[in-house]
Amino acid sequence: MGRALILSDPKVVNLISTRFVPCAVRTGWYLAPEESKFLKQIEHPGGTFRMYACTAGGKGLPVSGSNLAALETVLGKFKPEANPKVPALSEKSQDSVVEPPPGTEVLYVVWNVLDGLKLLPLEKHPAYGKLQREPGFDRLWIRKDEAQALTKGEFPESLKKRMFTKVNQIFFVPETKKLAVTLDKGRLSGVVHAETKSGKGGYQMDFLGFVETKAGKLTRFDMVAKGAWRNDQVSAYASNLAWASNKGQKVTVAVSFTLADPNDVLAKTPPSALNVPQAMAGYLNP
Amino acid sequence: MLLRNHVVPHLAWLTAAVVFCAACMAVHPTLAADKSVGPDKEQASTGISLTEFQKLHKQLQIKDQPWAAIPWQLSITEARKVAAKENKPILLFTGNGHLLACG
Repeated sequence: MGRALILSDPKVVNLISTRFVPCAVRTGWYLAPEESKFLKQIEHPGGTFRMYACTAGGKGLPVSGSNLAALETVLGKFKPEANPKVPALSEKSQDSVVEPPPGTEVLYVVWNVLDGLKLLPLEKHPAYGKLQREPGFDRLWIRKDEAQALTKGEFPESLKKRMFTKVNQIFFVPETKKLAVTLDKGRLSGVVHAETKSGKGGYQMDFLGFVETKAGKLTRFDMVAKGAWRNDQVSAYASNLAWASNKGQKVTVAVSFTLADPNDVLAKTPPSALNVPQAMAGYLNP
Repeated sequence: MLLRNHVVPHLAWLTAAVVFCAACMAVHPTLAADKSVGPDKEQASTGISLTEFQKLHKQLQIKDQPWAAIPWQLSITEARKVAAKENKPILLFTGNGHLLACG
């Protein structure tokens, strides 16, 4: 969520892109032992969300704020080291890196509230307004055999389940109640309905999408779902939707699934469901 | 005989009452709105038109976000290598959730 607040200023984005080596990592679940040791060395303060600077050799450069001036102060204090040592990851650590199996395709999953928002007093603050307008983002993997099935005009059950499990996670709903989907001559259409255990919350969305192939390879997968959602869960602050939708409030939401360029750095970040390598088997075989 | 004389007339009244209530709900705007309770009850599908698909698809593109253009490193070790080579400091974004995921 912090990215909406920190990384919306084009000057900040430009400074980070050109004068720093920007690095985004998930530290809460798994980190290679060598990298954990490095964070201790630079006296990284930890916490749920941090922006922290350091040198390649391992000297911490605390950042006091997230604005342009704070970042320029860090640059002023930075002195490049002569030939800093950067040890390679051990074989064991390399094996623990979460990477997609060969032939995996990546979908970008993007969601947002379209209308129906009622702002709480706290959320009327401009900063929180940014959070509310910020789309949610994740990735979803398509197994090689699932991609091949799509090229033959089939929509594999495992892929459907993975996709709509993701949608359920976005909207705090335990499971899909009804899913009717048709893939006919490259056109995907259908409806999905899910309810919370109480029956007071849930969503219903229609969807439309397009699948294209070239020489037996998946070249397009675009799907958009839109409908109404009522959140009956206590806001978990785990998603922009939690900010956007107060308990009991009904809003219009949309979710898109778009085939990503595998070379794109955003596509290389594992899906958020893969906290640890051990989660891979269950994720790929839902 | 008992069924015909006693139960059937009651059923006829009950059916008439249900039909009357349904007609009232369809006509009265407040009751009609209550009928449309939204996502917690299954509704008839209305579908998405191609025009709406194109509009939403454009609206839900993550590459348009300013942070998406940043040349991210996804490993601390790789970031250190690049920083050493380019004489730049590393700016680390860490947390329990990934900066490039979720909301």
